[in-house]
Amino acid sequence: MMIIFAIIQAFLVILVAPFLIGWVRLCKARLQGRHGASPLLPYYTFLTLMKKEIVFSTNASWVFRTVPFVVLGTTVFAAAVLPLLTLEGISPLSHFVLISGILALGSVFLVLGGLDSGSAFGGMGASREMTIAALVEPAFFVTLAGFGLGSGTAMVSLMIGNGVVGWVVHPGLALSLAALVLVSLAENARYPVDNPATHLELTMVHEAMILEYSGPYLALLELASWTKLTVFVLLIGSFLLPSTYLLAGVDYTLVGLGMAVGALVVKLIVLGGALALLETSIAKMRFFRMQEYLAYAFVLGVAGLIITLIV
Amino acid sequence: MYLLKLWGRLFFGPRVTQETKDFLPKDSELEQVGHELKSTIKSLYGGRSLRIRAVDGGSTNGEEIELTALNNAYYDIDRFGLSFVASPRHADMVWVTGPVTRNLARAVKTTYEAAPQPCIVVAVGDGACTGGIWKDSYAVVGAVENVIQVHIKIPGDPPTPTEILRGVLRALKSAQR
Amino acid sequence: MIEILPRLFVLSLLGVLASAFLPLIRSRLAEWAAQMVFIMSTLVGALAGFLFLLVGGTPFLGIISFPAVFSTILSIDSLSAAFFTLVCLVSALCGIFGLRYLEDYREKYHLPTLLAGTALFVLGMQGVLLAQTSISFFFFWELMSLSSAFLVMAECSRASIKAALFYLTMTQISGAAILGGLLLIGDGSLSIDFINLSAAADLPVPMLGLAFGLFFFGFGSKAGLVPFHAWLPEAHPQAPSHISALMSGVMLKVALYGFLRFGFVIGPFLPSWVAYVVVGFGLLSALYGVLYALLERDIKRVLAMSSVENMGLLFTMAGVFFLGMYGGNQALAIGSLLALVIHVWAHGLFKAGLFLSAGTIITRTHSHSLEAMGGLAKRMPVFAAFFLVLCLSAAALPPFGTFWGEWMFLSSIWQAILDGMPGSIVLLLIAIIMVCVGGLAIFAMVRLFGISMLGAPRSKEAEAATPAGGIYRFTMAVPALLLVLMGLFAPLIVRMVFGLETVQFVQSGNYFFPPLAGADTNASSPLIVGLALLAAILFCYALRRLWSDVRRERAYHQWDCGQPITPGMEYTATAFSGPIRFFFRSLLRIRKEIVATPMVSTNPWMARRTYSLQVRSIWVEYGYAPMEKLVFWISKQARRLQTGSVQFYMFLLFLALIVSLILAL
Repeated sequence: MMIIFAIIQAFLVILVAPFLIGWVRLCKARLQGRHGASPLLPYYTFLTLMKKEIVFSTNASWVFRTVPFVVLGTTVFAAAVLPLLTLEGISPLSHFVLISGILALGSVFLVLGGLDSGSAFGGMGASREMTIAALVEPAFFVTLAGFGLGSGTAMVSLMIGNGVVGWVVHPGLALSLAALVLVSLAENARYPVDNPATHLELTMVHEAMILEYSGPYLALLELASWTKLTVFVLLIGSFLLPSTYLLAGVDYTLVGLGMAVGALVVKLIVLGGALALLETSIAKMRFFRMQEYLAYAFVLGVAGLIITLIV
Repeated sequence: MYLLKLWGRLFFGPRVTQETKDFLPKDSELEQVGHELKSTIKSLYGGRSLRIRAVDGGSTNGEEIELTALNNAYYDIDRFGLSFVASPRHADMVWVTGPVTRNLARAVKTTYEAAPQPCIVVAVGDGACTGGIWKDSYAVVGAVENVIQVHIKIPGDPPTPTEILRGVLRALKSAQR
Repeated sequence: MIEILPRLFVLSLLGVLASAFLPLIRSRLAEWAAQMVFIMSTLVGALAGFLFLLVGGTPFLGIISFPAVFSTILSIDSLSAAFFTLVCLVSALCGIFGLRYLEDYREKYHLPTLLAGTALFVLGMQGVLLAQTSISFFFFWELMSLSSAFLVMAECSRASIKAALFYLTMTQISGAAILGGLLLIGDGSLSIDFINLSAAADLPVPMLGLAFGLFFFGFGSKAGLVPFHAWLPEAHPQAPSHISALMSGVMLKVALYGFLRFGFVIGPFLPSWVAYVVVGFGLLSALYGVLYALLERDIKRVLAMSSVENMGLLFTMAGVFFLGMYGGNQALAIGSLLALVIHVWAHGLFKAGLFLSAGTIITRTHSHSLEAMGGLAKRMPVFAAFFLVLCLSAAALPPFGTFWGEWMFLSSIWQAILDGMPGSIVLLLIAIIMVCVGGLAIFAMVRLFGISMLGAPRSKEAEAATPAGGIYRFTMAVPALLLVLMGLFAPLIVRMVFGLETVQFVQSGNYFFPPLAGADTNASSPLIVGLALLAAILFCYALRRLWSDVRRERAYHQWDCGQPITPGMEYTATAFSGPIRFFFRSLLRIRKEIVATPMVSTNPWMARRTYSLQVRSIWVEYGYAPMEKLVFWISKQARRLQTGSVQFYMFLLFLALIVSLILAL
């Protein structure tokens, strides 16, 4: 049952991921006074890319070809085991150290893909992404550790699935939640860490690594980054307001599943709008000030952790 | 406080994008485009999402200014599913501007070759279409056609953003029909 | 079964000893035979150790004993067996690697000496692990130290001799400390049986503390703990690659074993702050090691600094074991000990594998510098695959063996915090620093793999690299495969090493390998993680295979913005670590210089610029260099005694006799 549930959740998250990114772009466009593209555009982009030819660098080795699969695979893994739909799903694989390890594996392969083409931009993006990934790791750890301490477990699914809203019971976790938001922005290469819409190679982080990918490989990598964003948005949503809390008593019935999916879509729309608002209101940070940003995230996480530990 | 003011302006401020009907012609005005282009766009999932790589083949920068304008809030090229990308590897279309100079001929050629097929080539501006006033100069190769195959030509020196959009959308529309 | 085991151990030791003397017969056949005997006997040793672990139940097994004189000289128990098996296995791999590697470098090294030295070195390590009395322990310890010092200077270059002398000095100081410690706990006797070591508890606490301090310094400096590590990044890269693999992969572990062996005995009688000292040094080494591992450009120095990092992690685990013991938290103690054993194995395997790969790469590029590599994954695809597995293991990423060791450690710390163990904040701090180190280790290893293997070749040699031969490939495949197996079956290994009871104990704590609902598969959780990850990746592959047209592929040179680009424009190893260098600039000693010299006197803007980056070490600058000066100064003063007259020397002898008589009375 749990395996089926995990598979359903993974498919659902992958399916809504392009919508989320389209929705964020639409909201941003509206906030900028533009008409904006349809939120369904990423689906078309994905389909178009899947039909196209692949051009790969003459320097590229087999590593280049495995990258899209591993990057998307790790994201799918995270989407399957994390408590995103939060019906009473309790996945034993959602140990928070394991999750951060799996996500790091994805970043590592993305970085290797950036290096493999042998272009200057790829290496630059790879170096920056790896720096951020290496420094985000402890911040992510302390953030999830804070939630774990609040609920007395190491499983992310139990942190959420135990029927209480963590930050209401332990107010210190509000800080951890803020840290999680900062970590999510860094992990997903959003403002103020990276500009997802940039065309300037010298300011790129995530884009620079996938400059060499084309066709279906690019489609998979784009889908991976969209899915990752969705996973993080839903994770924040789950910590903010677990669906189990809303849907107490509804079990694995179809009605319960339907309600959970409904809650998921509502969360996506609200948090996607909030992300667009955030990205419109703030400017991108200089890359060499990134250590300050990551230090904020880390200190917030540690503060939440220690307050929860003491209180 | 300033942030709240900003948000107020963002939420309730005017939307400046021009309505499509204001600058797009009626369907009856659509010209016929080439058979090859039609099948190309069809194969790109009906052309609902096309990504553009712009290449400067030695233009006066006039065309570039118009291309930049396409991205602004007034024209907002995004809503038609068109977007500029940073690498030819991501592109479905290559937009070339200017008479291709001898120094940039390689750049134009490699950009086209680096883009995955199918790839639509659009010549933007008189220089790109025919060579313009630089035609037959020793420093230019001439029209983009002399370097790579061209699917859509948009004349004008420089063409206005409306004209550029009209040319491209016309091609897309006729292919979709 | 258990009866023939001692004979297998003896056979292994004798075989290694024989292979040390075979090369003395100066012929190619003898060299070959020595290598074969060496490989066979280390394999026998590995088999014996493995069987001992497999049989289990016997905590202790005597191997050589002379009942009349000493009780037992050599023996084995489950702790030493875990180390012994690893040492033998890695030695066998290095022996196999040597078959081909030494053939390729026949002119560079003096083969008979090298082979004999290697055999003595391995014999020393085996002996240390099996030793049952202080005297045999110290004998084998010195055999190991001295023979490895000579192996470091195998290249006979100025740099290698300098490194070897530095190493020799450090290893002798640490040997002296260990000897002091042995004498202290043996109450002046060196023939004390380790079984009777607990009698040492009768000593007063300050004496025990002194002994512990001596052992910690002695074994810690041999294991490369900061700040006693300075010899390590000098000596390890200078040795031939398979010797580096032995030194980094297993010799450091032998030092750790020594620390554990005596620490277990003395530790319980010491005040609990001792544990914090061990943890502190461990974390310092881990952080310092990893920061330098991601700055170095010499591939073998990167690996050596990564060894410093990993030894730091291991000592942290040992320290947390003591914390658990002092705090009365058995679960924490056992959890970190299990993690330690897994990490010992994982580090032994991946570090040996990585050094052997570094050797293979150097046979291709003829350079140690990362800046001269690149593009090797395209030229040596199979090699690169194994190298990638080893690098990912070194970065402690799932689903490879190393990850589960660190995971167990973090999980047991986590459980102790949740259980409300006093001093949770310290445990939390340890876990956080561990994760910081983990993140930076990922950076270091990605840089190592990415710069050396991917992209366009950065030198002519790398451009012309040919696929590595069968032996090179085999010696990498074995550790890579073992690490994958460890990643899938980590609980089985734990069960094998520590017997079923521990595992059950740990499982009842219910945090270790999270149980799957309703299935008795507690112990196979890593397997499930591995399979789930594989399934997810295969799903994505299927997406590509089934949805898109596989044949529509084309190779075209990398996107160059219209201008041809050269490998010189690629990101270099130095550039890659630039951001980290900047972020941690206050912790690192870096001297960056850009010198501009005008090419023509009339135009200052046309200049030739040289960029130089020096990575220096605080410890060497402020610790070792002043110490060196001091020693030289003392030696200079001592030279005044050397008057050259025999009477004066006789007088000094007489004086010494008198003084020792007074002391003795």
